[in-house]
Amino acid sequence: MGERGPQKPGRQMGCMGAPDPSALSAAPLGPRMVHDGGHDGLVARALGADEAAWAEIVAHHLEEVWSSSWALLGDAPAAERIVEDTFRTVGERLSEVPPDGRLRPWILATCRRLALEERGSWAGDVPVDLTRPACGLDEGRWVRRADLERALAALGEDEREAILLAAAGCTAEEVAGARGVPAATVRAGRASARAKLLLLLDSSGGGGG
Amino acid sequence: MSELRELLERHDRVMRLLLEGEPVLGQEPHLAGCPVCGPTAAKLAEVARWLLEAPRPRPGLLRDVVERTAARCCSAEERP
Repeated sequence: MGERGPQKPGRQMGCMGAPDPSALSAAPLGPRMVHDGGHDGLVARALGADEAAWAEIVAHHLEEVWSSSWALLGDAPAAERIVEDTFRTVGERLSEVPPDGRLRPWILATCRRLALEERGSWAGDVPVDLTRPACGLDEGRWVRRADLERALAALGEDEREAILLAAAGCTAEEVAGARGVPAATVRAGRASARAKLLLLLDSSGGGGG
Repeated sequence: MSELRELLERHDRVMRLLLEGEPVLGQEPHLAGCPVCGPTAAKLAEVARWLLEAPRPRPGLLRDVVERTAARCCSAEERP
């Protein structure tokens, strides 16, 4: 992984300023409670040139954006580029953010759109990475995971991708827009792939929750 | 008879939504009671969890992203 697709050399990683890094070093990653008026308050403060508020928004959503990017691209450098592009896009259009707690879906939709574009820009097929760390699993989960790996490996690449994009939360409309195909085609492909996966899991006796 | 037909239609609708990866909002009672749709949803959720497992982002990514994006967001004078 990591060398399978062309980079986009034209992408500039802007470096135009920074908040106080000391304020970030102690901030844990991952979803956490947003204080000070919630997201709407943070957005308003960030729009008022409050860099700490922007840092808070990024910190709150970074891990989820990272996970989506990584899942869709399977490549750490590419995922990092998408994370950065996502927050740059969100930052530039922050004044357009939907009110009333719609920031998270807006950020994730932006991330998925950029990741889908990135996947589409890579030449040839983009294989779905089937390797996952298996540490910390009890025997039952390990067996189910092995069944799942076998079932996914038995699918075609297009079927695996359809399942991955659905799992990553990409709507049929988002995928259709990125691919230039009707959303109904995407839905039909997903349904077929997921039905096949379930059959394979049933035949192996695994995959249950 | 019409109740049975309604039940089957609801089952077909939920199963189609599950397979197409569409939200099944409002169908929780059916998912909880249907011996086919409930386990199907659980299996698909486990598949999704597995596919979405990601390594932790590298230390410093948060700082780097904030440094590289804050000025774009927070420079009021650049805003149209």
